[in-house]
Amino acid sequence: MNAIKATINEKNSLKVRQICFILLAFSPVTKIISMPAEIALVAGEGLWLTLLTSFLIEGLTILFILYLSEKRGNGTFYSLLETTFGKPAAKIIYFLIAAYLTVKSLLPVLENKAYIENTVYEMSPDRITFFVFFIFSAYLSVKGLKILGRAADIAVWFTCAGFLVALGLSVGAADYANLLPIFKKPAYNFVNALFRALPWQNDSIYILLFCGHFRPEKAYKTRITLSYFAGAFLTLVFVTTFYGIYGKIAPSQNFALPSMSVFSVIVTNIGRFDFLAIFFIMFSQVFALSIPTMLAVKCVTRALSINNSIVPSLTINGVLAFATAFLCSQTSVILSFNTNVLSYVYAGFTAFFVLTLLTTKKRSKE
Amino acid sequence: MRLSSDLSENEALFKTRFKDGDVVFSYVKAGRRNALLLYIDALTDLTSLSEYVLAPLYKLRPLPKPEKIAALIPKPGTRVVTEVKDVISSVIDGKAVLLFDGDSSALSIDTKKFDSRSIAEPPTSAVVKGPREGFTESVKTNLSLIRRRLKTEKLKIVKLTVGRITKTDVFVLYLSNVTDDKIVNSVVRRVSLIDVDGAVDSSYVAKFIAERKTSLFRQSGNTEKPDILAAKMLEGRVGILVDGSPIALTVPYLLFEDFQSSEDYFQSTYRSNMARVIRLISITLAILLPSVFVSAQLFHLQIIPLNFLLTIVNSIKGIPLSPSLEMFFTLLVFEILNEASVRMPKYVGMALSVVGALVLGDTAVRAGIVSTPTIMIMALSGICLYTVPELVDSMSFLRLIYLFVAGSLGGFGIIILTGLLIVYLVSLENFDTPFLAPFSPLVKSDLKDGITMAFLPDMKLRPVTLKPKNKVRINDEK
Repeated sequence: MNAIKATINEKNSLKVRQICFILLAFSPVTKIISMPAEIALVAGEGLWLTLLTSFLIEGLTILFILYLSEKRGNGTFYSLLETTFGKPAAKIIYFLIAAYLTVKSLLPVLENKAYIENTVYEMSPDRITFFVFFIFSAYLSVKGLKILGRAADIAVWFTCAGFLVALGLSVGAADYANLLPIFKKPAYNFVNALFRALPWQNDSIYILLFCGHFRPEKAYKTRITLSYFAGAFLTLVFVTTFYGIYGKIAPSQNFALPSMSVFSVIVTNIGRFDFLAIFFIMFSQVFALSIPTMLAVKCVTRALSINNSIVPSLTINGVLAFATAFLCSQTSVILSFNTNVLSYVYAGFTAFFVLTLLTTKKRSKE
Repeated sequence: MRLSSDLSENEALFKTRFKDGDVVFSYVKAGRRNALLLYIDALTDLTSLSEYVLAPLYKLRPLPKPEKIAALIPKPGTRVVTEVKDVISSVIDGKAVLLFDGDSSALSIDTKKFDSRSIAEPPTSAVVKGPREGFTESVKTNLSLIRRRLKTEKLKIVKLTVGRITKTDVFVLYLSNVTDDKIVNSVVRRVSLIDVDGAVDSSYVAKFIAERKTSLFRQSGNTEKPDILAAKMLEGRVGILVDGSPIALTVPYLLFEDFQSSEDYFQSTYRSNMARVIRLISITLAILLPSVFVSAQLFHLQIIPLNFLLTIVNSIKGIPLSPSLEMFFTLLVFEILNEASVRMPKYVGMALSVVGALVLGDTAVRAGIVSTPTIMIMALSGICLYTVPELVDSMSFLRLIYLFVAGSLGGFGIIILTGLLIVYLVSLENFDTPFLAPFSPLVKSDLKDGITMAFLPDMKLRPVTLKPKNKVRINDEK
């Protein structure tokens, strides 16, 4: 254990608690914008069962990655790749992960842009408004994992408070009988919906890249996996409430969060204080949206063996900003391309990364 | 350069060195020999000099060597000097120097006496309950106030000098059985490295020992009260006292220290908890209220309750300025009034309040330049800011930035700015201590004295964030 402790990169070290908070604070907030409507489109009443299965698969993948990482000596994924396949292969795989994360981060960025501009703002904001996000993302990407962990220590309370208020005001209007019968749609729809959820599932890759950056503590695998499931539970409650409120018209309700609580008598009487919850969730969303770019920057700096992450951060965020500017009018096309085509590619990549970890050799003691 | 045994030669030398100065040259009799006394009138206690030094010396026959005289003078700190530079530094330091005819050594006698302010309640930290003593400009008085509270040989005091010209005494205080050695060494090293012509106040030292010198947030705590300094040292912090400054510094400094008041520990815990929550809410309101109000008016009308919206619509009718410009203008007037009221003599202050609050505020509303809700929001924000006076500098600046962002980008801009601020704050560290601890990174045991506080007997441990050598504060064994 001492040898393990000594080799952990202290500069970027995370605490197990912070990884739990990252999963709890940032995982559910990206899955409540367009995903519920997209899944409802195919799975209908069975959307919760589809998502439950999807979360179970992702959660077990996380547990499997943590188990494998422990078996391989708790090194970073890069060090394992380097030990097994050599430096060039490790660099190629890290570039691949960076590209994968950058491409995968585009959809959440685009949907958030549309969500913020169309629903949060009553008066249409300037087109430049959303682009300040990339300044934040570039700044966070430079700061590294330690700062992300510390930010999660704060953001977790915002996420929990946001969900608590938003759901608390929405459950009264939900008719959960809308979710019956459970097995109405054919099995094909269930499998198709499982794949459609993949563009929003990043957590196993995050854990893969966090490996080697935290000190293993007592029952850490269980704690991390349970935190993922806690976040998944929040998402499931949201999704079932969403379908409970909208029923058959749920597939057309892409940005439902701000409108779900308007049916509450409390909001009618007091005013739209539910916006406080929406802004709390938005606070966590900007961090959640930045995680893929931050990890992509980390992969690039590792692959290029450079210490300064400013240039990779500016490059990746610049590319994303340009892509967002050019594709923002095609959000629905990108969404459909991601859910219909790219989701299978994402599944393949995730399987490839996990299998690569499986084939790695145990790290020699450095 | 050594002193000469010829008194007239020495006199000529020092008269050249101290030309156009306030050094007094006085011939006295020591036994049967002539002696030259050098001192600065304003810094010397002449009564004690005559009573304990000159009178006994006059009676001494025959006059022994200066080494023996030093032992006879009932003044601690008396020493023999032989170098010219030592004579000069002694005189400048406020000591009296006695040069003897026919002897190449002199006596440096500590007869310093400074007039200093008496101990009083500091105006910036007035309390209803609790000690009222405050530090003064005399570092000796301040050290005595700390010594009186920390009666232990574990209280260590490192004396350093800062300033090429001012040669200001700086004292680093810590409890050797509590404070982390790394912090102490780091403080001593940073203070020793200060190379400046003068340090006239502790704030100079604070700026030089800061890890990020351009940071918007200060990186050392300060207090004018010995009880607070003693309490912070008991937690494992290092205190810094600077001669000539009534403000002591404490490091490492955590942001949430400012939300704690010494009174919190003296009054009911329930009341203290309420006060701390109010302070946190107030600061949040102070920064965000003007920007959220402007952002709501410009971009998110749906968040304003309908009745309030109607009031706003009625009051902004005919206002020539945009909501953001109107708020900016009002805040600017507030900052100007604030700045003027601090600088103006007290008797003008009252007139200024009348002009500011009644004439400017009321007339501006009547003239249709600003609306009533804007004045109300600005006033509330201004009052809220002063619930934590230590944060006024940084927060009033932040408030303006928030306002600018809210007026241009709306709610999302506020969120992004808050995100940037949080990332910046969580990455700030001073003396290896995270600035936002115990909230980020989360230190569970330290939360007992965070936004809320536990009952004093339940705070069994010292703050773990400060890495104290001895973590236990309350011994349950007795």
